[in-house]
Amino acid sequence: MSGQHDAQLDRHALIAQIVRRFEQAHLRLGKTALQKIIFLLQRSFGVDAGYNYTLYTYGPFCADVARDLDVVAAFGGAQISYDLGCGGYQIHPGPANDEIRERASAFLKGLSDALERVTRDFGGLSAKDLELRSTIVYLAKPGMFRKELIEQVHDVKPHFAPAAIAAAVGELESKGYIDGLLEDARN
Amino acid sequence: MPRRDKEVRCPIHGFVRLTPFEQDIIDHPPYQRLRRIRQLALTEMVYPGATHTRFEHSLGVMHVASLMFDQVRSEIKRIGPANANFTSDDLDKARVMVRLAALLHDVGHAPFSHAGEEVMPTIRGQRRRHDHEDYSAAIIRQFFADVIDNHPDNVHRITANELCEFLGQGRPPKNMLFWRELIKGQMDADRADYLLRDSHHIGVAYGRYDLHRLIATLTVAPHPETEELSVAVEEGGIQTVEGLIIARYMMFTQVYFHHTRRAYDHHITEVLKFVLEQDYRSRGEQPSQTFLPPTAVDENQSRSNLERYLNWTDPVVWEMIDTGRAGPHGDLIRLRRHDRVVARTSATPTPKEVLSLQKDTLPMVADLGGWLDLADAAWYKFDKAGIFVTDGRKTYELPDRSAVVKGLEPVFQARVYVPLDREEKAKTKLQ
Repeated sequence: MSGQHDAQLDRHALIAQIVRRFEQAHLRLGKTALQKIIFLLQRSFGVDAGYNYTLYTYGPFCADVARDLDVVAAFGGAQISYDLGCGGYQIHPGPANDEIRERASAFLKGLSDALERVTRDFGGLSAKDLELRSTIVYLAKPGMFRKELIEQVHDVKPHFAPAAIAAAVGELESKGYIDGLLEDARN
Repeated sequence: MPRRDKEVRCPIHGFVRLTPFEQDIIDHPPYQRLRRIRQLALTEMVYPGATHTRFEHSLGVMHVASLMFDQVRSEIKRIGPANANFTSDDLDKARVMVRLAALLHDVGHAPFSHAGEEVMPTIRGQRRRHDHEDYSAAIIRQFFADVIDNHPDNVHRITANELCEFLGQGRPPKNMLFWRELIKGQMDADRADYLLRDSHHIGVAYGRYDLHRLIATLTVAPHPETEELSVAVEEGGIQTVEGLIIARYMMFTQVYFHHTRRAYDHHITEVLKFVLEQDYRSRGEQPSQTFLPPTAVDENQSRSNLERYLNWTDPVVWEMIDTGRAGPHGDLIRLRRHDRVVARTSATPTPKEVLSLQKDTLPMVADLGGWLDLADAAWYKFDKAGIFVTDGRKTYELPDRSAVVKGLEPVFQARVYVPLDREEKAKTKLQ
């Protein structure tokens, strides 16, 4: 039971840490962005927060992340507001943010480099752009043909043009988030 | 002569209609096993009426999912959103897929439902345990492929593999992803059914809400942040959704997280660990306190693991409890001498309060067999995120349109339990 509690503390601290890091970097953090950042930390950097993501039309989503964000907010680790001007949510650190992070300092230390990378590579993107990129990472598998990946992403997200998907795939490859794609000999 | 649809009676929805295709799936032995898995584990130790099974719930979910599907399909037709690229054939196939997914979504449950998930093995290299969804997918692939893939009524050529992908195990077939919301969303058919069904059998009114009004107000709208087509509720349906959320909140606090019910979840988990270990020993295998994993590198091994898993049902374990072969926790269950709460936090505590219970209070009674239970570790989690409301122009998350929902704090209560015969001693120590 104690192990379960420690896992919870780690998850809450992870959310508090992302909220704080985005605030420090003067980046906007919404609920969608938080979902996708945690997904990328788990999938691309092996950060083991124990969240199980499912793909939806709006990209990889985990209900436990949404719920944990509510708990962190109730604990005072984050403040969530709806921004009528921007038309979306904004998450800022709350008064207990430091306290929540300190409870799992060892866990957070182990992921600081990964969080820096993800913040740098994805922090400035819109929710829509993050949704596309996290969907690509979700669907990509080593040994898959590039064309096949682009088609699969287009099936899931038909409003993104294949050219835009191809550009995002190239960007993710160059940054090392996906690898092992094969070129289709028919192209 | 073509076979006919059948209707079965349901205490919640009246009649549930089953096609011959669905009847054949239901008649398959791994499906019939759900008649022997109770929906709410040992909740009957507190609420004697809670003896309903995963079988009747699964039929109910299929019924509700169909109602939701038909409403959303009619809304897609009415509104004609630009990003809904469904052909008529896509929609017909999606309806069958949604019904089959709803029917089969719980087929992988362990004995005593969610309590049994505590003895599922961890996924290799991860912190997370397998859950019943992993077992459902593996069982569908191994045992239902023939009845699904080769059924003469399967006109849309749906495969067991596609069904698993639709249920969340990977990428669903083309144009099916949108419909996943009805099976695995924040306001899905599963929750819509279990709140009403659990309330009915338990005999409480907490879980009741207006299902038919809820369905009538379902529509489609762009996601508030990504603009993707999503299932939403019309503004006029806010009060109905509030009813659903409050029902879930009340069921969580009054039933699912009831202090005695949680004690029995703990005891039955310990029983399962004990009987599993005994089972491995009796086979001359390395003893373990978890089920075999749902998948293995070798297909035959996967099938063999699942065959053994499917032999475990509530009555099999009850027989061991009744005959004194389920270990000390089995005896506690048989004699109804469950552990008692000696300390707890408030329902919505501060992090300090929770930590103090774990670091200060628990060690004081550890030598008396004290253990900590967290509401957050409960399986029927209460949450309010991810339900969208639309006024026809813009989409919002429910808490932004509902002061009632916004005001509901997440429950994160923690409790310390000790065995009944040490309750007084523990209370004295903690004074």
